[in-house]
Amino acid sequence: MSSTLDILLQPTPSTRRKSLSPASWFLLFAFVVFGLVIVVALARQTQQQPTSGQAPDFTFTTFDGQTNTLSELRGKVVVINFWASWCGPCKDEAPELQATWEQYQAGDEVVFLGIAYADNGVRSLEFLDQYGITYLNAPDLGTRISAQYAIRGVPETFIVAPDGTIAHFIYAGITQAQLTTLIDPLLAKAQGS
Amino acid sequence: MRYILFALLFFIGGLGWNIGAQNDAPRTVTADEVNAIAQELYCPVCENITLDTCGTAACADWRYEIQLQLEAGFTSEQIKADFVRRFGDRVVGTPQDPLLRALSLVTPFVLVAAGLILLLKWYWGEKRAPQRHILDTLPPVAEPSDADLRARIERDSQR
Amino acid sequence: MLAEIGFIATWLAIAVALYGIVASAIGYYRRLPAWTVSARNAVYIVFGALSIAIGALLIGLITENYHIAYIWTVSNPNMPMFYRMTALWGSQAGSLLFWCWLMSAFSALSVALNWRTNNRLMPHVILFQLTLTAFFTLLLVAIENPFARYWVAGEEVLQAALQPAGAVAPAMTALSESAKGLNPLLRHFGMAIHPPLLYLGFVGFLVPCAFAFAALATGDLSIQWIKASRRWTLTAWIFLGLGLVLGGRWAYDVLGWGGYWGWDPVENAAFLPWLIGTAYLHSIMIQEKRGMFKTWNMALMVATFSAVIFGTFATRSGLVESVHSFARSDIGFPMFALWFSVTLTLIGLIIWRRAAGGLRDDHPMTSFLSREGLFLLNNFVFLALFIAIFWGSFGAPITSELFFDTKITLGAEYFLGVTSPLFLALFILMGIAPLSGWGASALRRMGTGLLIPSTLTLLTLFGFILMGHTKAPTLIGYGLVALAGWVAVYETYRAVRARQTHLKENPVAALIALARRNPRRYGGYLIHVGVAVIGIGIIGSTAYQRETQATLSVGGELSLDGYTLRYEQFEGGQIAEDGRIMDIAVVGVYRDGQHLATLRPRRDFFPQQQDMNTMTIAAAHSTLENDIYVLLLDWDEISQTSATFKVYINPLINLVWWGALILIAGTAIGLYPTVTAEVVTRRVSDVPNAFAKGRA
Repeated sequence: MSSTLDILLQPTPSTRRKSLSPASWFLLFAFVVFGLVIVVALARQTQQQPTSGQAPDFTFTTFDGQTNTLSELRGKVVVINFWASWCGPCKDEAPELQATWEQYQAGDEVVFLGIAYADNGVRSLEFLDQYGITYLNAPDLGTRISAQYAIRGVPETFIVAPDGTIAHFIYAGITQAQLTTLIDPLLAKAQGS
Repeated sequence: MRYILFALLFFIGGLGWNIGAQNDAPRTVTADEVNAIAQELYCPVCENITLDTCGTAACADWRYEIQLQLEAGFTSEQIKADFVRRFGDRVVGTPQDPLLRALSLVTPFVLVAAGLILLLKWYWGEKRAPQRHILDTLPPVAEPSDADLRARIERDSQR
Repeated sequence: MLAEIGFIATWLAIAVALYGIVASAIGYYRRLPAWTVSARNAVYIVFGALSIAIGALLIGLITENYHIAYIWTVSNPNMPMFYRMTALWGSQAGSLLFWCWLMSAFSALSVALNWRTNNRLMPHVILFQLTLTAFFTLLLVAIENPFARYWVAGEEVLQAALQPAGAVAPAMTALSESAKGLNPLLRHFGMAIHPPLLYLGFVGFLVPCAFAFAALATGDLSIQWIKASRRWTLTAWIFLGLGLVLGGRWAYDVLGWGGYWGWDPVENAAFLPWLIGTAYLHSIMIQEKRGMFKTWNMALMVATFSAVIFGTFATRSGLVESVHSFARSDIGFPMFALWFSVTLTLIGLIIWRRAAGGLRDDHPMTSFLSREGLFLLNNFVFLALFIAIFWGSFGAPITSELFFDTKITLGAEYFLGVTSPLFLALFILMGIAPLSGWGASALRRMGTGLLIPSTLTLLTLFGFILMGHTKAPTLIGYGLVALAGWVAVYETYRAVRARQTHLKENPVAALIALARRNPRRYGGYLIHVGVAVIGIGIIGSTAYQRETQATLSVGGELSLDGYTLRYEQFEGGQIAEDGRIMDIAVVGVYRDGQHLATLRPRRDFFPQQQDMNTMTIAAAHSTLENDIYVLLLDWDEISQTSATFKVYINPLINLVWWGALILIAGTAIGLYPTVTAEVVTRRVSDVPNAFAKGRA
């Protein structure tokens, strides 16, 4: 009889809950960090092209061998055009860009900068020759500049105001008329201030 | 001394032969050779498609460039390194940059090894001082006398 | 009309689901069973509402209602009826609706089947299932509404669910003429059933995870939740496996790169839940027989379902670069929130229960060579595979881009290098675990058990060497895989012989009796055989693939590995029923002068599609030994006399597809209910009663 009632005489175990072990805390912490990394990565992947704010600075080496940075061109309106020789609409747009460049060339207030996206071999030079492009052109080695501008394809054009901020972003081909409509106000503002 | 001379001769001869190969007239390169290199590269503008299976005109151009490079005598390693220089690390199947390469290839082994160590630690811990398991028998408790017990029950039932 | 019905039905489903969540919580925590019954009814109503919604979309597809933007995007007037129906999952919105409908269907079925037998777990099962269904359906209707219609307001074309002010419905004729039609890549039989199979697999894991949640929340951490959900897990597992194999088969047939698995991140994201699910299916055996691995089983089930949601999140959000980028949408952040909160809750519950002592093992582990020990190693290897594949698909590219500002790709090189030793370890375990004993293994028994299978393996290896497969690493691979397969065959054979000897049964009857008596074991052995066959097919087709590319003029020949291909003629400009233009090259395959087959590789062009409008369809001559796989890459448009071909020889590749069939058979056996010995009942009055008066 006594052995079955023994259980009644044992002291009630304390009901204070044990705190979590360090391993459990580590697991929870690691998971939260993991979640953070994923969400930041997602934000980065879904990043759109910049349409305002300071234009990301980059270093470029033109096909002729000159090295420069975007910030050194500050004070002028910079038209950055991403193109590639294998891209159809770029071929349509090239003569328009060249004509616009020739229009503003004398004033020395506008710089045209072509960035060849994933295109840096013989074909790029052939393309430049074919359309008689005379403005600055640089290959985007390692596709770093394109990554900075989060482009989704080519052609894409960014117009940077003299103060270094992005004034316009054009997704697709552009014509001379469109360009002059966008550039002239920026020049006027720069002169006025 | 004789061995050093021999090695030197071999080395110089090898160099000469190599230089000679570079200066030969361009040899005909088969599509298979181009594909062998293209297989190990990825299309720079597509997502996750190897260069030899990509059907776009741009990819055809790049394969043509590889063909030209092969005809000019470049080795497979040189061609791949050039491709990485031009398009970034994402065009090869394992990154060429040593730090990224270590990050990619070594990390899973490190994680698995860490896991294995944890597993063994748990196992040896079990062996030495096993945790209480549900179906283990309970430890014995000192038995009180019957009189004690009766007194307690009577006391409790009077509450 | 249809769009409105579908739209309202979907919102109704969401509202009822939200009610059901509250009702099940009240029912359990306030101990009011009437509310739990109400929650159960909510589950059925949600299923009904979503069935109406998906029915509306399906009817819209069949009756060519191009007002609905989704239908306009995925179909056009000259599509055959089969593809018209399968276009239901042809794009984001429809596939997400299909996913939600499957969730509601599985919820309803699992609740109906378990209402009586597992009544205590029901409130939380309903809670979990309805929460997920509600969330996915809300995402669907808010971000990717399949019932949005086209409206014309002046010059503009708008897309909206309800008629905007001042807008009218556009004319049907204009819509039907411009309708886009199903993506050509999806107009293949394999592709039509690959998404549903995958979804059946993914969504199937909802039910066991709901039971795991219920077990954790109620504290009933016995074997009950596993018993209730085991068949669901097995069914989800086989559907997922088939979905993966079919995806590979489709890629092989239609994408034209000579392979079937590209280690693309999205492919891997679907593979990961299958791997963990396999680990879970093995690990639960230990809990059933020895009451061990309780924490492992909870963790594995949570990991499986978490991987499912992560997989669908990664695919639809564009987290990493992948060839499946057509599946991208804005659904990323909300889905991330769902994945994170569900996984964190489940992990928290496991940690809590473990700290409170509820997940303690019944028995200690004594030896690594015991069955429990080998299964522990099994769990570990699967987990290692999971980590390796996850790192390669997501971990490394994300880390590299975030912390080193460089995009990288990890390709087949990485995956084959890192996962091969792990897969071989799995096959070693597959070979010796069936021979191990509980608690401890007699090494002698293991040794004798391995004797015959090892001999058979050596003979098999000899066969491979004769076939010309002589590379040492592959022979090791073949050996280990074959050994695992032969062990399964031999164990079955021994059991059949035992029955023959003692019960005088013929072999076929013995096999059937064994399968009925212990379907899980013999189904499992057959599944192992299937996996071994697939493994051999994978080793052969990966390590010994040969390829060549050449430009031939008509009548020209190329040779590869003893086979000769002759370019016989060109049939250009053939127009098929659905409007595609086919350019076909006729190629004859010969070996030692013998004509083996005439193949017709072709290029299809879809004039109505804007982009992705060409497909290179390979032609293959399939035998057990290999596939002769021919692609038409290019041809001279003007003279049509020369063409460029790429030829692959894929040894043993057909073992992959046939192994999958063996896998299905094994799973079918494994799902069979166990025949228990009949309880013999007799009427009391038939039993002679010694105390009855007047009876003989």
